[in-house]
Amino acid sequence: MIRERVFQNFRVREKREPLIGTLGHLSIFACSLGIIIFSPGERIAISSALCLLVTLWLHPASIRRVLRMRLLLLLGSLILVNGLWVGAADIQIGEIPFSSLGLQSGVQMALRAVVILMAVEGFSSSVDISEIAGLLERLGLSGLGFSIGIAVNLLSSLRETSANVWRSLYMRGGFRQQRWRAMQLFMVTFMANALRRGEEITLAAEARAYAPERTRALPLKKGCLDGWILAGGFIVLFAFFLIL
Amino acid sequence: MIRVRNLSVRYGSVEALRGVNLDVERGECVLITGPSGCGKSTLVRALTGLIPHAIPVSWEGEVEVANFNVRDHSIPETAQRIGVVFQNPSSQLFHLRVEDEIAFGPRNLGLSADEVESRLDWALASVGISDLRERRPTDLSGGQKQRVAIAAALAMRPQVLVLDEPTASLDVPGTKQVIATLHELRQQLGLTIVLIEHRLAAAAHLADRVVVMEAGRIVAEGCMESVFQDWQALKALGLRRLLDEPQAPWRELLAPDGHSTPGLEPLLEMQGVSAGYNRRAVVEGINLTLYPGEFVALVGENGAGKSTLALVAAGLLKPKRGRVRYDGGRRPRPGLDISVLFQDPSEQLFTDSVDEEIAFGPRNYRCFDTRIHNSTLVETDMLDLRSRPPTALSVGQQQRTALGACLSLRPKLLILDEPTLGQDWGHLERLMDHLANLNRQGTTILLITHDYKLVYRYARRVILMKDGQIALDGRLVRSPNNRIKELQ
Repeated sequence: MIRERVFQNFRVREKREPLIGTLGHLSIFACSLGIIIFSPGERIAISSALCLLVTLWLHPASIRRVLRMRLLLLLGSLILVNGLWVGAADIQIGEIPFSSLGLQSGVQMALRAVVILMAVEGFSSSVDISEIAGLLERLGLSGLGFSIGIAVNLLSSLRETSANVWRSLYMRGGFRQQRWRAMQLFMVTFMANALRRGEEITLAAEARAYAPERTRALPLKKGCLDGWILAGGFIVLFAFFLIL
Repeated sequence: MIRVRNLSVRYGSVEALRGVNLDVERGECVLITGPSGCGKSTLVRALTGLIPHAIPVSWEGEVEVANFNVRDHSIPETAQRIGVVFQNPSSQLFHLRVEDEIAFGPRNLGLSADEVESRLDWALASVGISDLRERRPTDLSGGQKQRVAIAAALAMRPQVLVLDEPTASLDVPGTKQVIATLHELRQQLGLTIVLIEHRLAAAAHLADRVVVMEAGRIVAEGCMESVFQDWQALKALGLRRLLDEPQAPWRELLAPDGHSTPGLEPLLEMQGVSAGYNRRAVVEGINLTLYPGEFVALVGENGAGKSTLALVAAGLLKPKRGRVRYDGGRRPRPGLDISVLFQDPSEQLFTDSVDEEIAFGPRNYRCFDTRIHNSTLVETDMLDLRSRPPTALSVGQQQRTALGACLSLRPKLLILDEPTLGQDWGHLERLMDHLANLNRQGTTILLITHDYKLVYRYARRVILMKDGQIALDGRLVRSPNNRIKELQ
């Protein structure tokens, strides 16, 4: 048969593996969080410097998340509030009395917040939602990737449907008279269309043999250094908790 | 390859298929056509095993695909022999990346990761969309979405591909992409194709044989030439001649005519209008004037900004820049001055009966008049169906009910946003003839469509939109290659 031959002769393209895959990014993210959350106050400077260096090296764009004026103001006020109200005032900056303990605690909190924000930004920019769903599917949430995909695609289509239903109703006077009745009609029409769309999706999925208990989990991106990063992450965490 | 014997399918009391017999040879491409509600989509569902496994109906007869009785096997087993592409791309693409979409079927079969990867690469290459691999399906054009849907079906490695009106919502370039892809697949893979279509011209050169259905039966079958010989019979079924649909871009079919003002006060004026969604301008710098009694067609490719322009004209979307002036500066009353008939009738029908649906607007405005109400029912040919629930009607009847709901308020400007989706020519012709009648009585009509024949037959002025701007304001001329003869 022609098509069998065509399929057999088809050569799968050779793919270059990226340096860091889903597991690698997850290890870096988890390691950063572990270090910064459990690091004692006196080690926070060195641990946050390490985390920030790694994050900036891997995801330089994540610094943009921190450099927003609103966030900088929030972090500044966190340090200020702690310096003013936490602990006894023992130093003066200008005419204002501050607590060195409070300031220290404020800086520690701000540093932890910056590291967590940058780690989240770095992780979310390098691992897409399908891979996260794939991870969670492997943890027993089968069908999650399919559900997320439907939710994302269906939401935009339902928003469009609700807009069209409202526009049609508006073209007939909207909620001018019989407000409660018009509201009911709007809701019923919207729900009926949502169910119809859901049924269409179900049929399309069934036609492609979908069954949550049988389907394979979404794939994770493999990286050449994933194993090394995972091992390195364990060693660093171990070092922080036990040796330091 | 496909053998259907005495197939009858019944949804409750409605008989959708009546004793259908159909044979399709290996490698053949069969085009199935017929008026709306004739049972084409039911046949697709029966071929793919969705009927009776996913849709419980009363069924008699036999369906065999590649010597495999679909009734005796589960959908996953059938899915490996027959792939299906549905009409609406957005209802069959539900992943965040094209590659996950295409790999969805093979993963459902429990294949190994390497096998899934190999099928994915093959399906992408076969349809020529390897470059779209990492894109989000929602970001693609209509034609690209349908090609992704075809690749997703191919990844199951079926022997038969069934497509249920895959070009219904596409413009000419999108339709050409899909048809060219199917052509390639036939030549390279020898795939057996069953294509359901209303737009015959697009699919004509692809099909070896055409099957015409009516009221659940096959009424004509044979090669294109022999079936289209009996044109009067096909016309009675609401089918079009192939000549009615030139597959050329609008730019080649239009000519500017220095559109002159008919010496009337404008009904609607747009000056320097820009509008869009979420800070993104969809239409920009629009200058457009509509006069009372005009019948204007607004044409252009998918995404050109036609619907956005219609929403701005109807006062449903506020322009970001520019001015929209209605009837000398008066604020238009929604429905009474400007009304819009949207594409999907199911989003426009709210009540429990046709009667109530048509009376809803006038009652809401406290201007209900029994004489106008009855005349609207007659005009839309819904008098006999007035007590029926709109959800129990055919798509054509639903669209006429929605139109009746618009017309019951006697708007001065009626905007129709692609009223042609899934409708055969017979239904459309009746609906449009009625609108032409209203237009002669003074109602201004703005028709958004991809349908060449509608434009040729009804519009006296054509506006072409491209990339959010008006590219041409003129009239339709015959196509330069003389493919179009005098239309009826």
